[in-house]
Amino acid sequence: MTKKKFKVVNTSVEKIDSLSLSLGKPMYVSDMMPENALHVKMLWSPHAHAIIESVDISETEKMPGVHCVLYYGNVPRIVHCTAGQGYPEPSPYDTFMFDKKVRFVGDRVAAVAAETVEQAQAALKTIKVKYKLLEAVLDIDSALKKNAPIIHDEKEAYIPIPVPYEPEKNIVAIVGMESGDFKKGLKNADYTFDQVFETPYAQHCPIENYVSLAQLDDYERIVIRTSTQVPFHCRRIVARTLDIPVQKLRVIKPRIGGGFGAKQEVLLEDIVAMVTLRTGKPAFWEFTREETFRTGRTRHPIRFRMRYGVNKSGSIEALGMDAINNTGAYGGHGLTVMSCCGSKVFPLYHVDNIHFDAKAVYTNLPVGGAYRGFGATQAFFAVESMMDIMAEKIGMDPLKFRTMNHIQSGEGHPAFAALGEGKPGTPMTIGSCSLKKCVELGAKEIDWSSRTSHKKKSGRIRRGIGMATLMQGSSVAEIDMGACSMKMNEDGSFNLNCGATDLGTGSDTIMAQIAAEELCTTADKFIVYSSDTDMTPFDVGAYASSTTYLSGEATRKTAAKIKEQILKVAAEMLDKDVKDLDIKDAEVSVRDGSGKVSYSDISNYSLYENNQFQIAATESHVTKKSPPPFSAHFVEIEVDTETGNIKVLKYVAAVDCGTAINPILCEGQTEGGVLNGISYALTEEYRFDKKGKMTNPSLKDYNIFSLRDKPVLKTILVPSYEETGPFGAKSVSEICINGAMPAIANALYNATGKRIRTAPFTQERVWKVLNSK
Amino acid sequence: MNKKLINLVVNGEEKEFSILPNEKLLEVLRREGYKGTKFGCGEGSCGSCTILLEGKPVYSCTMFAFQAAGKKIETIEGVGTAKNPHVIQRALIDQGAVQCGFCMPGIILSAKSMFEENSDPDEEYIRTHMDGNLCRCTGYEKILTALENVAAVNK
Amino acid sequence: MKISDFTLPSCVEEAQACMKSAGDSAFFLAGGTSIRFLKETAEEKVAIDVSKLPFVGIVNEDSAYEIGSLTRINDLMKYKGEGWVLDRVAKLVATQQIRNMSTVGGNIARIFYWSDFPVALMALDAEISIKGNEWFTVDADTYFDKQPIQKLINGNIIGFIEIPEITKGKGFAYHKETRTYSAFSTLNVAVYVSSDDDGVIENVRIVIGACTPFPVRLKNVETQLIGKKISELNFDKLSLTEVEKMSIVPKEGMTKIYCRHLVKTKVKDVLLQAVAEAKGDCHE
Repeated sequence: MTKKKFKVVNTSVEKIDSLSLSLGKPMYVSDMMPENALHVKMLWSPHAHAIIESVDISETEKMPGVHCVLYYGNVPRIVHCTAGQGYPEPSPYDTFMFDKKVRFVGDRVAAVAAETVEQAQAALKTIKVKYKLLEAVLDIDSALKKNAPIIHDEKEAYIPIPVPYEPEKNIVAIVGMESGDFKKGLKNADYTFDQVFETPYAQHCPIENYVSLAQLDDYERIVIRTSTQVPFHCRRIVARTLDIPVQKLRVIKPRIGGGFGAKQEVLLEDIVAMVTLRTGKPAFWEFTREETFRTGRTRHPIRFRMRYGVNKSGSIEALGMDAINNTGAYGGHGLTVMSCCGSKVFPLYHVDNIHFDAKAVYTNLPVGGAYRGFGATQAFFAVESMMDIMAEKIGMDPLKFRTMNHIQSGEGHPAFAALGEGKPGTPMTIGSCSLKKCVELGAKEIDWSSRTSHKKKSGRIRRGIGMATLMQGSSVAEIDMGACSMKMNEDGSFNLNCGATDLGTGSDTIMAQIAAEELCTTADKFIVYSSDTDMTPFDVGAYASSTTYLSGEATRKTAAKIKEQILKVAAEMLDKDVKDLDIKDAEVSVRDGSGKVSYSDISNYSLYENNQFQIAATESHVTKKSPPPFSAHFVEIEVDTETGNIKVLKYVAAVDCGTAINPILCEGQTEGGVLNGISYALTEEYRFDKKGKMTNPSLKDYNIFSLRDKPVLKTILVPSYEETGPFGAKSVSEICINGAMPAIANALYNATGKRIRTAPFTQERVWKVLNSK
Repeated sequence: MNKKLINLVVNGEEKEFSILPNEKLLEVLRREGYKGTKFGCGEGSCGSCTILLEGKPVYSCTMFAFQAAGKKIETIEGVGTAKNPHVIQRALIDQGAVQCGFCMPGIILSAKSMFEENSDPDEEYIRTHMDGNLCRCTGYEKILTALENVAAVNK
Repeated sequence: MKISDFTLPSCVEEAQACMKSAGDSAFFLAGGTSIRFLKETAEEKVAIDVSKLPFVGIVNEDSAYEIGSLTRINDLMKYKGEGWVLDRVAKLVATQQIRNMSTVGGNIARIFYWSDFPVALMALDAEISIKGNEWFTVDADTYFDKQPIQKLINGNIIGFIEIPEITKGKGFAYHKETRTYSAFSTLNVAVYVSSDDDGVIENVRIVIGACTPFPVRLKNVETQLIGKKISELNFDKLSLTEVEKMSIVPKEGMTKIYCRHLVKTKVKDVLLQAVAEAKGDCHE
């Protein structure tokens, strides 16, 4: 590990937008709605599975204030995918703006744009729809049965990359890998295991709902301001869906109120763009919280069958994961989430013999999308629970079991090459790993040794301590690209325009820090503008934990190019060779002390004086690997064995994200992800009626934590240095949500000797488990 | 269209709003330009619509606009300036507690009221008084630290 | 319901006159925080904002507390007084923003299964004073037996609620079962107990709610406790078959089996707390 001295990076620089946001400045999409905007409201399907026989909008179009009514009969029928992914997407094209079929309660039927919200809502009531009900498929086993109703029987559905897609069997994707000899490994093992784990639906609950605004600019181009994580994918997908050229669209992401993966999707923008295209007027559409729950994207519920073989010595002989993923009514992200169940999880431990078979299937239920953790969260519940189960069988401390088996710096793993995202993966050797230290520091903080005494206790209220070790990735190697443009201004300030998408995560600030470090100046010298398809170069957007590692490196490369130009100009000004010059604190000086020029001197010279040119550069980056961040999570819980209530007392997350570009923001990401992971494990739940309708689409009935519920949280950043990342950085944003479910399950076992395999761990579920054999 | 006029004081300024009886205060405030008050759920759960009514935090999405007639209300626009942020804003910024910022106006107003009532709240007091402002980004950790710092300064 | 108009009467007579003449097309508006729970209908009503009426405040007299119906729940939470116990309930209601708007009268004018005060006030054997043409009082058992709408027609308005001071020999405990602090409850339990100078239980009221549409007293359990000495109580010997037999409506996907088990467990827990307070043990 290289010990570097940084001036700007690894400092908790104030987030660029903090002040403006705390003053309540109008920086979000809905704050920019013009007064004459039309309001869009959507008629949603009340049925889980039905054919639309007819839609009669004759009365609707005459309703007061109505300017536009859209349904399958008056929009182009262009199959596409709503998932925000690179083109061609590793997801089936199975969606139409409006179809003649509805596939879940909350699917689109028809839209109205009217002058006021009340008028739009009144108009919706006049839309006459005739449905022919079809048998609904409400679980993964029913979806896979022979002769199950086919949810996607449309002839247009296809997948644009050469991977299995079998909609006639309700199969969205099949992913797998084989390494070594799994069957032999099981046979050779001293002990074998075969257990099933299930993870549930969840919603991201960004405090700002989905919201989009479209309007024409003075050149008749459609400008979409939207709460999105993927402005460039959005532009491409909307262009396709509306059958208009990309050139005619501009997508801008202003400040947004959280994403967490929910907004890595194009769910509203096609409609507002179409309304604006048809009417010439601005179109505004904001989901209600209910719509965000029902129609918005969710976490994929997954069932895992885990088969393991372990030896008395502690080596893992075989790992088998058979998984079925419920992607809901549409297939976006289904394949990639399944891939990540393996690719972001298997490499954590040394295992030669691996079997992985995963299917993503359609059901007539709410639609899975991207959600922080992206398959790894679900898979770690299964894998990290199994690690404790195996450790107990061989009589080893689960901490020691993990420490002796986890991957180290310099090592590779067959899963890296085997599992890509719709294509082969990228082989990788770990370049940075401080997991051992994470485990050590985390164990100390939680007082791991008190586990032994917890195990022995009896009585109604018990305590338990559990742990999980984790990894994730940093960007999608060889596939995703980010770019950055910079130019220099006469006062030594810079414009930094990047496609990278700041969801509130602080990526604008991180880019400024990285550029400042490379350019030997301060972060406040950068005017950062991001996520505007006209004004910023391409970036895939905020997902796959890419922003620091991928977009950050594009930024660093751009800054490096700028530095070259600065040095050339300085050399001309000082009449020296570039090799005789040093840069420090926004100044270029001759090494022998014979002269110096400041950045503003240089910029003025280059803009006005001689051999004038604009000091500017644009650089792109594609990563060659996806170096995992690592983390060790520890939790202490209190269990009321009479009621099954679990209370989290203290949670410790020790994180290796390489260099923390902005430590306080890294901690903030970790704390947010951890608390989300805890409520995912304990209180968040989608409830359905018998007809597939989600019955608790409200923050009253879907329970996330408030400050009053927060347990003690402790974050420990444990630096390592990733050579391939900007100033040694990896990622931090997703890994933090993966630990709570398995760590709490392991803590429950420590406290009670009982194992829970289905989440969320509601009181009744825990009580049942405690009272089971 | 039975519009009514109500008079109230917003951030120290006398105001006259034209409202419909069924309108919630949130809709009216945003229409009148107070964009810092947010729509997050519309049903009194998330707290992003929080304003101070006679100094006490309430959900503007749950109260009717006419209930503010003759009253004093405060929105985030009345708290701090860019040159001179409020001590609570400063503390939140310094602690890195502002991520997406959507919950912040509500958090700041709730906290402001809390400190005006009790300048040195302990952790339990803070948890109880801030329990109506949801945040999904921060895990509340740095929000709590920031508010504890303000309490410490007040001591 | 949609509000078509609003009025702000300055005294009770004006409010009641307004209500009487409007009949079904008006309603009394206190905090207004329960309106969000009502089903949306096109029905239009006039809101009679009663926030100016003089039913505010807490008065301590004759070992009892008289609480104005328009007192905000936040004020119940913050009030300090000898034997005052409603802060224990108030601090668990919803969130601070709701506690600042919601009134205790509003909390009992229409009973939702999750409501806290109906359960607590029934345990405390509260007396609800209502102003009709004249003032009249309704005891808690009668008031909370069903929706109070019948008692609140013709311009009747809740004025005051009277509860006892919980002092020497008395105990009160309240439990709210929720997934998170601000979630709806799946079970509310309130217990009030009073004992004489020898530590013998004179009166006990055990009330549950949330898993029942209205608060329900566990009278059979109460009977087993009356006349017993606190120091000789054995909760394990308590028969809870009443809970096995009663009708319940579990929430949030809970099964009836678990729900009954939860009721039995928490009733014992809350009883223990109330009894400990009556005994004089350190509590709260």
